Amino acid sequence: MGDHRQLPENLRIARRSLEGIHTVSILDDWVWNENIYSWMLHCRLTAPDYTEHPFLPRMTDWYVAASSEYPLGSISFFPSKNNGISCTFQHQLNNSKAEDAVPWRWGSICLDLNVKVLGRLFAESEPFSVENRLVWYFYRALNWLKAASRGDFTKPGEPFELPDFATKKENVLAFSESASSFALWMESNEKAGIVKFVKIKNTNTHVVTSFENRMGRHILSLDWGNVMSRQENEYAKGLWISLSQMPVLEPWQPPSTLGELIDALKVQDIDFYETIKSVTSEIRDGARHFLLLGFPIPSKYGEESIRLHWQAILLPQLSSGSKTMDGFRPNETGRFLRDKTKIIYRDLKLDWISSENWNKEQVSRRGKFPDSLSMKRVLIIGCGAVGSLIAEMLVRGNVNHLVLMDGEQLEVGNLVRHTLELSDIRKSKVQQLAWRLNSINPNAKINAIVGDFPPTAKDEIEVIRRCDLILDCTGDDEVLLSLPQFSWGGEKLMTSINLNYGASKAFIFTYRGESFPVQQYLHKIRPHLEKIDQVDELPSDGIGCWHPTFPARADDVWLLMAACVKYVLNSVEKPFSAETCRFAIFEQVLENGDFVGIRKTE
Amino acid sequence: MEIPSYFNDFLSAIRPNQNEADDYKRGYKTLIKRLWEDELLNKIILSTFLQGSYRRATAITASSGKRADVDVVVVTRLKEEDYTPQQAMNVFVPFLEKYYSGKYEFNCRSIKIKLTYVEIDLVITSAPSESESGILESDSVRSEITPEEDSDWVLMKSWMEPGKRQIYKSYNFLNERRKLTGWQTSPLRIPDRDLKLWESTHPLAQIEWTWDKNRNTNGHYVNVVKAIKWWRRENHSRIKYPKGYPLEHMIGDNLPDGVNSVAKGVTLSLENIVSAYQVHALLHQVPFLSDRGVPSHNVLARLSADDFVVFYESICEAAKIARTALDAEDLETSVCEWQKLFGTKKFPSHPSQSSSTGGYTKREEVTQIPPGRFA
Repeated sequence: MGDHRQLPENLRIARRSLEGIHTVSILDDWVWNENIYSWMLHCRLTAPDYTEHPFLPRMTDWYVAASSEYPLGSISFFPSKNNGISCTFQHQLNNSKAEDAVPWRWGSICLDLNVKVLGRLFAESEPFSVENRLVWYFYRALNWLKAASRGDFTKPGEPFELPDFATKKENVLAFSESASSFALWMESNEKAGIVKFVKIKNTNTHVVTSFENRMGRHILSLDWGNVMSRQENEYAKGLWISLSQMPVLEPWQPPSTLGELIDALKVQDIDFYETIKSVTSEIRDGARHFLLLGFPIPSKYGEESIRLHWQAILLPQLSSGSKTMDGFRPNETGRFLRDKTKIIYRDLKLDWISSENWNKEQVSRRGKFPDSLSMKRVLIIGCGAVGSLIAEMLVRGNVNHLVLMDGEQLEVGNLVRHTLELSDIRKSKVQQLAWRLNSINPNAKINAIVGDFPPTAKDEIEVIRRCDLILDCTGDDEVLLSLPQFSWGGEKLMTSINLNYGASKAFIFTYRGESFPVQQYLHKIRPHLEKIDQVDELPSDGIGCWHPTFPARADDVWLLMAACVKYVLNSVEKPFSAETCRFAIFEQVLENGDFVGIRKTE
Repeated sequence: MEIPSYFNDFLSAIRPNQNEADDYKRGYKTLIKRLWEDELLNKIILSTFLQGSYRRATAITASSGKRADVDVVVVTRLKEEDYTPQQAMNVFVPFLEKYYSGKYEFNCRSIKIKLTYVEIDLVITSAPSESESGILESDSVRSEITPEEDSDWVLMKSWMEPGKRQIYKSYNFLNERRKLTGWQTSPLRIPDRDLKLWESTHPLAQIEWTWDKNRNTNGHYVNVVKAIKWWRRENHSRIKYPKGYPLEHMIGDNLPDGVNSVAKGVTLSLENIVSAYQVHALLHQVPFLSDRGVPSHNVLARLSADDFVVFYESICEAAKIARTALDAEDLETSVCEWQKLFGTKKFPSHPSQSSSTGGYTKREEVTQIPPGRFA
């Protein structure tokens, strides 16, 4: 760790590297600050290629924070209270806070590699050498000043970024907005109303479920996955106001007090108090409620807005019960007046809440299957190692409609390669799996049918017939023989997936048609099935329990199942002709006993 | 180039380190504690205080192998009418025998105590008059604060240590001092054994002068002194004298007020010394530099003319190098020139020069990681 009062040699070297840069001058040498556990360098920067800017002088003072572990550790640039930036720009944390006993404001500027407009300097990645790392940050800071003064952050084509509302991160407000819901909002004339939420149990997440207008008339309901309709969830309501643009104080600072917000709304011809007056009666129950501000945002600056963004504020408790304005009766008028003076008054500090778009496309941006697969209704028969894994990969990849079928309970021995956990033991595999998958994806609608294929109940049969992609993940002979006997009600993509003993191979058979061709299947797979002679080699689940199972480790199963999922995707994207079948084997390849890859044979 | 970064690190390296500071403080504190506890002595002692380059923040770290050297003044009530110089010093013998037997020796004007970790120069003095006893006993005189610390220290009876001040009251000692004129104390009388006379000495005036000069030069005076002292030490084989206080005094006389960097301060001091004493050097004469508090004394009294001329010639060379270094417009040249003056051990090197500072090596290949790795 090092003695914090002794200036590390590496910081001296780093500071000397700044000598000779004419746009940087050091005002005070490194001083240790216990508050943020960093060394602070007080310096002055001159913006290169400066363009006159109302909020940015040509020379600004900064406090640069570095860790004792330099060149490792973080480096941050904080604006000095004296002679520094006092407002907030794009690519900067909220700079409104300045009350503490330190000489800087907390709006540090964003200098990391993601901010492309700062250019590529010193090769493509951040240098970690003692001499160069600090200098690299200073060059980027100078570029930041240049870009800020010239307005480069908002020039057409630059990706749009929401301002830093400086929320406390524990609470999340999730909504779902897209281009299509945007069209709906633009058509509607409603300006304010009630919004309803679901609070997911064991979380601090509130999810928007529906919007109503002032009169209580329904405007829009959101189509979420099964997790939102669980019995254990709590319900809440709040207020919403629609704005024509984001309320910011120039250049990019969210209002920190209600007064600033009121003024920002006035610019848009919205009278805050008048607008909410009609709906405040709905939230007088002594609890705190959300106020959602909706405004359109583009994807890039200079382009048309593509969707609505909702930003939440947690309001204080509004007057209720006997609490009313002095001299007034305890009715809506009296209570509203009291609110206006004592509760939601101009100087109130706004409690912004972290707000996110959980729309299907948004939430799965980092990795989703194309629509050709994600729009399918998938049936997975058998939720053991194979079924549970395939189900999870599909659900995480934005496939939201799954029906799972299995009659068994989870045993502890399954856990070596199953996706469930200890708390699921001796419970229905399929019900626990459906619960888990619904908890993974807010848009997932996973249904569970407890029992072995074929189903007997009428509603179960209906549900199954509505599926278009059928995956048999049982490896069970009875199921295999039942598949062609079931009346599927139309053309399906039928698939059967198995592992061999030891999971060194996976077999995947697909067929497009109205039934499952067992004979063709057996014809294809028979030559590859290995005989297992020694019955007592089969591991069992303990003394007194002869329940044969097959050996297969998680890394083997997951490796092969990932390959199978890709094969399924392939089959869906490039449909082959109907009434034909395809059969492939994925096999682990070993060289001298070492794993070198997977090979596919068709 | 002024390269303040490089000078900051150079000065950090040549300042007395923490161990030295601990040593000299321990030596000083132990001695004065014992003096004040001594039954015989505490009746005649009026005040004790730290003097010398540690007090004035003009000390550079001791040469390797050498101990810290600390100067302590004891102001006594012994009247020069009643005691000869030798008698005055003898009063302390029982004390010295008790605590420092075999470790002390009498010099002509002080008592040298040699301990393993520190050397103490103990100066016995006599207060000029009873009327000054107030200020001599005050916080201001006895404080250990140096001009390098951010402090409003002034030589005034009313000055208080920060710990004793009331929180809600505001103090403006600097202003009060400005209103007073002249030295607040008179020179102390010091016994000279060899000359068998009492002479005058004014360490407090030197201290006060240093504080004022430092304030007038944006805090750079004490650093310029340290830097030039270091230069002399790097060249000590050629330049034996002047060193220590006389050198410091000369710099003080020749450093212009208002300098805003150590680099500039060093250059201008050297250049001013060159022009101020050019005639003296030509005439093979030692200049007269008046002691701050005792103007009739020449600080350079013990300097020989030969030594002075050698010194002067070195200063001329140094001034030229300093000017080149200061005026250089590229970093590498400037650093190189400054290193000609100050050596390469303590003055940091430019990164392109190989492995002369800190032991770090350039590891560009390892520290530049190409992008494309994710998890």
